Amino acid sequence: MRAETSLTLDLPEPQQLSVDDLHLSFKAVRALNGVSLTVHPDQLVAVIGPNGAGKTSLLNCISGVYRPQHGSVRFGGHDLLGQRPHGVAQLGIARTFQNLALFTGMSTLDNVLLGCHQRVRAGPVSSALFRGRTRRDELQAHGVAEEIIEFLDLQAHRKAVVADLPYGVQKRIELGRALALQPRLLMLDEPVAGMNREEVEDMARYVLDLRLEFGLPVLMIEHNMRFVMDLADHIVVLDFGQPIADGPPAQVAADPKVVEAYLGESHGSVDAAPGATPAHHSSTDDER
Amino acid sequence: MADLVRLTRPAPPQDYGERLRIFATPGQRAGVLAVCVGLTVFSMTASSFWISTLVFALIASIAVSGLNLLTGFSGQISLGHAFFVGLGAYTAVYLGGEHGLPFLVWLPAAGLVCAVTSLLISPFALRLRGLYLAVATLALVFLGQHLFLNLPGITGGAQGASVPQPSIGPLSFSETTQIGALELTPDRKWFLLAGVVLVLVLLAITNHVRSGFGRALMAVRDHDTAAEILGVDVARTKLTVFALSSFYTGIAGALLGSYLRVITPEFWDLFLSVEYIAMLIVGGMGTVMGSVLGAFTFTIVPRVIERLGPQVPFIEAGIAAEGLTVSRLNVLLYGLFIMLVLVFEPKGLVALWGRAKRWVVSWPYRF
Ligand SMILES: Nc1ncnc2c1ncn2[C@@H]1O[C@H](COP(=O)(O)OP(=O)(O)OP(=O)(O)O)[C@@H](O)[C@H]1O
Ligand SMILES: [Mg+2]
Repeated sequence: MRAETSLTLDLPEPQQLSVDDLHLSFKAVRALNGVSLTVHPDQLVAVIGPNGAGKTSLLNCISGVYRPQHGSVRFGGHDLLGQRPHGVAQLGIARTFQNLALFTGMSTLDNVLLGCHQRVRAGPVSSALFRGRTRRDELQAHGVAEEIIEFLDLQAHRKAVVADLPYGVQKRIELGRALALQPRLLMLDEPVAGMNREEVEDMARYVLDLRLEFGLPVLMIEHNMRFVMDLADHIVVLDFGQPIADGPPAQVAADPKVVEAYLGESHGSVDAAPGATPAHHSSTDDER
Repeated sequence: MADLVRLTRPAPPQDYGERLRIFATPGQRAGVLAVCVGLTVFSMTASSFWISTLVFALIASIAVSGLNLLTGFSGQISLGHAFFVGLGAYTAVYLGGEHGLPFLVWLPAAGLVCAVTSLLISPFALRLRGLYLAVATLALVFLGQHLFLNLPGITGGAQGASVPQPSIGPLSFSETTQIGALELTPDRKWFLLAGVVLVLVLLAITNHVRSGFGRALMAVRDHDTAAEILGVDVARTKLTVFALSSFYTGIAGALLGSYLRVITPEFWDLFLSVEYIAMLIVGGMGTVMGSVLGAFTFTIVPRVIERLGPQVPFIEAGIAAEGLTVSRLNVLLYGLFIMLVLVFEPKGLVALWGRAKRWVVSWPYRF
């Protein structure tokens, strides 16, 4: 048993994310072909689908990294399309990356502190003096970062350079950095990919804690079916950029179209083997 | 079980103020203080040759520190900093000489003019990255030389311009003041002035890099997509650091021009830019002290060679010499030195210093 969580972040009011009829293509490749989904403020929505289905592209459209040709993405009262990624972050959407996008030369603490960026005064003139608000903000950021570090059991790695840490720890640091944004919506791109069973269980508990204690809405991509079935309130299945099923976990798992999409590459029903990872796992997508 | 583990872990420091100190250890602070005092004592006793060497080293430290903010901390290579040094110097000529404004106005103004100029250029420059940016800023040096040469109204053209001397209240930097037994020659005053400005600049830069602003710079350098996702406005950060870097470099330029007294356009050429880059790389990019180490090394070593030159065999004197002259030997050693550092300690002299310190601290154990 983990000790009770000590996280006392005050997260802002969650918001609803609505994606409607999204189309995205790269020259010949149709990455997204009419994808719609909604993440209600009290939900964890999982997006699943075989490799190359367009899952990461969907997150990239939401966070402003890719620009879809058609469709709409709304968050609370804001239209996200046309926003730069930093603008999306400022509206309260935090995310992690499938292949990690940490600052590997920096310490764990600095990575998490960078998550606090929006809440610290960071002008060149104010920082030259390092007094008043700059100093206060900095102290506050250290407080927030420290709570997150404790929540994710990263104390032992606080000063360590990220590049020297094991993969599972790096995944946790990236979650911590996203939490430091104190977001209204959290997007996770394959949070447990490449993790061993114990690390997967830890991650499941962190996500559950976040959901239960803060009601933080989550949009998550994951190949690990056990993880998805245990945590998701709602599942969207993509195949070749096309939504082929959409509903609560039990319903989606029984859907013949879903079974077929997965059977095309691996045998057995969707929720059969714990940690089943269909057509795993190329890292061809370049998130930069 | 987990609770037990938790109990044995060190409690996180509650007073985060401790983390925000400029010097990590009292020893570090004492060391820096000792170097400052040592240099000051030296400058009050040394001959003017060595004092002027130190003044040049201090001014170069300011310029390289400015460049470091841009290239070392935020990862944008600039070959154009000779232009900003020159622009700072000519701003001093224009505001201090032509308009007779006081030193305490023209010095910061030189920085501001450079900052504003860099903001005007940045819409073009900041679309570019890496080597493209290097080439674009290279163009700046040639543009600058052309302008400096062809605006004789301000720059004196090829004949050169004389740059005003600093004076603060009754303290004039062109004559000697006697304080008791201490003879404050202009050179010694210059040492104190450049030293004070450098300390202020280093303080400001240390503060920049230990705040959210500095973290954003390094984030942009290390992974710009990740930086954006966290809410860092990458374009704006690049713009800001370009201006800030030019600000400090412009201040160095005004000081350098003033210390040289007479400046001509060809002084602000590509070689000066390359020299600053070399100082930065050899000293250690992305560390505050690296810039100073690099600037001191590259300023002092050539002067030492110049002094020792006549004693060294094979060295010929005179302008018409065909063999190895002091200046040729200097260029040779310069190149050799850069290569040695890049091959054996790519992180610069600062890293070498860190290793030496660890070795001393852990003596007699070796690792
Ligand atoms: N920047 C890009 N340029 C060109 N094609 C791209 C780009 N990003 C994605 N694609 C293509 O879009 C399709 C969907 O890719 P995406 O990365 O979204 O898949 P995914 O569902 O995340 O797959 P995986 O499970 O392997 O992570 C793929 O065919 C991919 O090659
Ligand atoms: Mg993906």
